[in-house]
Amino acid sequence: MKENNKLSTLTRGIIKENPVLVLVLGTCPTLATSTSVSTAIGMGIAATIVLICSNIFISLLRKIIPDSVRIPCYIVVIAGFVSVIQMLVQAFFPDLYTALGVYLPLIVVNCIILGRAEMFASKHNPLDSALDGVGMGLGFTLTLTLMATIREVLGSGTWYGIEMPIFSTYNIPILTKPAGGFFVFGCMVALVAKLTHGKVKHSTTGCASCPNAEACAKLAKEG
Amino acid sequence: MKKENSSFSLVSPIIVLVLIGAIVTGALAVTNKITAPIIAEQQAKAAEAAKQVVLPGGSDFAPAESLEGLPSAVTAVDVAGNGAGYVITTTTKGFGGDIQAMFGIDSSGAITGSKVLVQGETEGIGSKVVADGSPFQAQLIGMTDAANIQATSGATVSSNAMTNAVKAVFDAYVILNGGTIEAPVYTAPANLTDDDVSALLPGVSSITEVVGGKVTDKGTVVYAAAEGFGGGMVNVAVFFDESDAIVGLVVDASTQTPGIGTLATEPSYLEQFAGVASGDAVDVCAGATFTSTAIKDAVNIAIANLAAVKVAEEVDVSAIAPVEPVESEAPADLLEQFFPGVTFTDVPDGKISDQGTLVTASAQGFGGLVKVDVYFDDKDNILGLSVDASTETPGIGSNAAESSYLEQFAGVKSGDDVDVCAGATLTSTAIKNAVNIALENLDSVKAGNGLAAAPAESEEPVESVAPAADDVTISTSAQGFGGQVSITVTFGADGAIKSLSVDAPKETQGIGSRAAESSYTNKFVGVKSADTVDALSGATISSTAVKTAVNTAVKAFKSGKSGSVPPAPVETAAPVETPAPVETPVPVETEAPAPSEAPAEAPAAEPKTITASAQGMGEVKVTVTFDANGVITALSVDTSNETPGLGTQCSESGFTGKFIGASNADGVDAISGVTITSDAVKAAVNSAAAQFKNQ
Amino acid sequence: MKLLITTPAPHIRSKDSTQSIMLDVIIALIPALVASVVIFGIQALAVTAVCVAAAVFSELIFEWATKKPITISDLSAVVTGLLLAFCLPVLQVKDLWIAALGSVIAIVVVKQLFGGIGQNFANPAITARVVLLISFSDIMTTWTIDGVSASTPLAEGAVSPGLTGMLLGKHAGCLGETCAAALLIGGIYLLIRKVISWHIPVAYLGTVAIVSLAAGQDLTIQLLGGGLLLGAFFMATDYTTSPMTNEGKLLYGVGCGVLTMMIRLWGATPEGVSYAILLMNILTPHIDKLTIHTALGGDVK
Repeated sequence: MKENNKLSTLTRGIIKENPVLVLVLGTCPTLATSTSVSTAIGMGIAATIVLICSNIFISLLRKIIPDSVRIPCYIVVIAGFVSVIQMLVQAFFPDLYTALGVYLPLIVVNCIILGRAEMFASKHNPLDSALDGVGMGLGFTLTLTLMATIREVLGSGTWYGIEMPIFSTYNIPILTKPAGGFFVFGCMVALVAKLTHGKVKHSTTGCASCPNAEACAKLAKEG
Repeated sequence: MKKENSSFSLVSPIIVLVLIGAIVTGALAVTNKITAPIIAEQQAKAAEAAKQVVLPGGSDFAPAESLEGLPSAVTAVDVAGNGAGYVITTTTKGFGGDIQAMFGIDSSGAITGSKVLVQGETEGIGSKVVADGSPFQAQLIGMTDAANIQATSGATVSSNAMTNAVKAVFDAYVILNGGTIEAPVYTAPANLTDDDVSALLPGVSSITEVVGGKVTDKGTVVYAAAEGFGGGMVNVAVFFDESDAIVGLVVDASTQTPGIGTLATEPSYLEQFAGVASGDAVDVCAGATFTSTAIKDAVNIAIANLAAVKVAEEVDVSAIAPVEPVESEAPADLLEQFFPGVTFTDVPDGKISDQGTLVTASAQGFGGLVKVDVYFDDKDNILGLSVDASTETPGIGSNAAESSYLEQFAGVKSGDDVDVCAGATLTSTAIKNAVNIALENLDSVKAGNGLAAAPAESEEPVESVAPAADDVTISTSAQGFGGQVSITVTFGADGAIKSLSVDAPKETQGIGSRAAESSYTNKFVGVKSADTVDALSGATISSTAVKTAVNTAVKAFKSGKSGSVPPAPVETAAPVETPAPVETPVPVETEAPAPSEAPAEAPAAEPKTITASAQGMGEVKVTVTFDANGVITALSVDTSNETPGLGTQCSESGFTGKFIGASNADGVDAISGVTITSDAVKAAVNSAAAQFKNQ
Repeated sequence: MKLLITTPAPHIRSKDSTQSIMLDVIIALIPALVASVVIFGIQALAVTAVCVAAAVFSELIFEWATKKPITISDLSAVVTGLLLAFCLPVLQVKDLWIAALGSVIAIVVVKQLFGGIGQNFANPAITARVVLLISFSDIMTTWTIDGVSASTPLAEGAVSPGLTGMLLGKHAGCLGETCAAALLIGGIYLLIRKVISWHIPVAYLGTVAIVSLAAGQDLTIQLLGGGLLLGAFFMATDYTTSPMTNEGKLLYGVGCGVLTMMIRLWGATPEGVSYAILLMNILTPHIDKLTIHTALGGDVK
């Protein structure tokens, strides 16, 4: 049973509770960095590392951090991790740093990280939190990569910079622009909704139907 | 217990927050210490690498000591420590904001590379110019001056911004190397006519065209120009009266937005400039800010240059290059119209048949030679005219070529019977003169002897000093443009020239032949050497021949000779043969307007035929024949890949003839409406010229 | 159980149906179609055919795939295809696929995904044109006539063809935009047949005229040039995306006019009609709220 739980913790971030497409968290960096596959993968990996580290750290501190200051504490921790990663990336991976640009420091306010810290890490042990971080990060990265593939191949005819056969002559440039990005995003949300329809039971109305119900503090209080 | 809990719960958040803050800060400090030096090194390398992109081979870049004296568009200069050249950063105004660009220029003054750093140009339009490796930037490599820069079609404003940046780079290069930039010489606005002069300076009787303006007996006209909206130049002629007060302006704002910028050319605005001491005294025209600011700047420039223009060197009106020449069309062939079904025989300067005669004559108009075809019936009455006024100002001089004016010539016995065309005085006078020439030479043409040498339009009295007994007369000659130029010069006993007469039958009619006219030869009277007399602008080769011959005569005089003297030995090879005229009337070959450096610069080079090609709509091949001096004597163009009816016009003699006599394509304008092919021909010709220089 | 609600007799029946209205619009567009073929050649017909075929086809496929009733016989897809074609420049054969793409976007994304006819949030043809303009800006801004590329009369520094030139339309521009006379004929036909009311075109054109005069622009060029006539009579008047009340229509027309002139005078593109109509389409629900008449005895909200 425990094994099942651990596995489900790990895997639900990929489709069932995909942070971008189901929980609709972190759309801003998703839309911005999914114009090319190389940027998307870089962003995904950076965010995943931050997610795992911050989840572990916050889970370790969960008994110490008082409830009233938990949000500022989380933010300081997350900001610290992001700054460290930013400096390391700038020093050792300068090309990736230029490609990510301003979106690297913006991981601080990436809702996925703060959201998972609040929803999961503050209530579970470090190991589970780490697994959750891996799962969510993986889901985020996969989503980013998939969206970037669609936008880059159909929009500019390349994949990871490599020219694609038909699409390099016939492509739809608007997909690499924000308008096209929203459109692709919408289509993917619809697709995932169709795929998970029936697998995840939702009551039709009320708090219980929210995907965050399991972790919601308010709901836990109300019983 | 509760109290303890509550005091703990008050304090613990603060403690925890501070602790976490401290730990995180510590971690950051450590990481920073490790990574900061690496990052700094990388940034320096990146900056160096960026400079090397534009100046490959440069290294050890250091900023220049000061930017003083450099054009305002230059914001940074980096000198390559290894002497490879400079990296110059500029900021110019583009379509969507400022464009910041970096250019590498090597030690020979040629551009080695460019990169746009900051821009906000329209995606898909202006971005075509500023993108890395764009065709616009690719053409810059190797250029040593901004003369041949081609704008990208559809992205004019962005191209202008980059062109202005490149000009600033070249100027900066000259200044950095200790040179000075010449003050620009301004030309007249395209819409300036003599009628404007008479209107603004009433009672004017003598007008002399000088460099940068006109000097008259009632005041001075000064030309100036300033950049208006979108990088387009606004040309202005400022009229000053005898007391140096401004009396009016003539503005050519054709590059500005119709209906907006052109508002600033309304008389209601321009008349505000009358009597002001500075362009700043007039407010900007509401709604036409850029254009009116340009006009104000131009007025200030004109005021500053007024003193210089008053004493400026005289310029021959005919030497001024025509502004915006119209597409060169061969004069409409009215033969079919007047003589349907009749066969004509070609003779020099015309065609003959038993039904009538066609005589082709030309005379000097405003911008160049005006060619006139005069159709006579079998009783020698004029049936009609067709005129090629492509050298005249479109919309002004070209009005004289309209059928409504030309039909007045039908049946007249002299060109003087027809009034000049209002507003197109010079052009219509040229047509009248040409008609007179045709009438005078009609019999000669019918006999197959062609036109006699055209008499000079304005016969100035030949100046000469009263002959004395011990005057020495020497005749000699020198190589001109089309053949030998013979002179007869009379020296007084003191060695000063008393009179000079020049015979230059082989020089180009209306251009080189001006060097034989008294207006030029009179300049030699009283001098002891031809070196004090300037060459005639626009007739450099012919007038240089006259000067050479005069100096030969001076030398001969000094060594006591007289009579006929052999011409001085010439270093360059055999004289140039101008190609035989083609059947369809060819617009007169223009000599390169600027004093052509080519002949002097190509010593001991062999005459050669070179082929080159360039990309037009398809590939355009040219075959260029140069003489030993690098002057083009023949050009044939293969436009088989171009649009029939459009691009193929570039292979016709009407266009190719323009290149004859020049040493490169710079003086030739593209055919309007056939830009791509014309530019390809020009590029190919320049490429051939470059090949010729390198041989 | 579905309830059938009826009101008591008498009932008035009108001859109008979606199909008959769309047919009237198609008839009104025929003069412009003929003009475009005369001015731009047979290639214009090819572009139009591709657009219409792609529109009808994509509507057919979508409705079949989503198991909805097939509605292509109401001719609304044909009208959308025609209008989109008129917004495009003469495309070369190798670029015709973007015309088809535009039709697919117009029908599937703008119309069908939002619920089909009567439910679209913006005019499908205009939206598709804007998408194509952003995506393929260089193809969409290359106007050719007689095989030579030229600039439209609205472009800075372009030569004005004069009143007859603008009416006859023999200058560069998009297919259905240039011949002002044909468009005016079509517009008047629509007014006579009461397919559209005069409010929107008059408000739109009037505002453009007033602003042009105030800004010192050439009235002939501004009124007869660009997509203004096509937009004012055929696109802005689309029932779904324009206000319902007459006051709303006037307000909407004025808004379109102001936006069009703002973009033409100060924007980067010489043509502002498409963006103006799109923006006003989005504002239509709010205009409706402002101007809706309350029924007698009904609530005042």
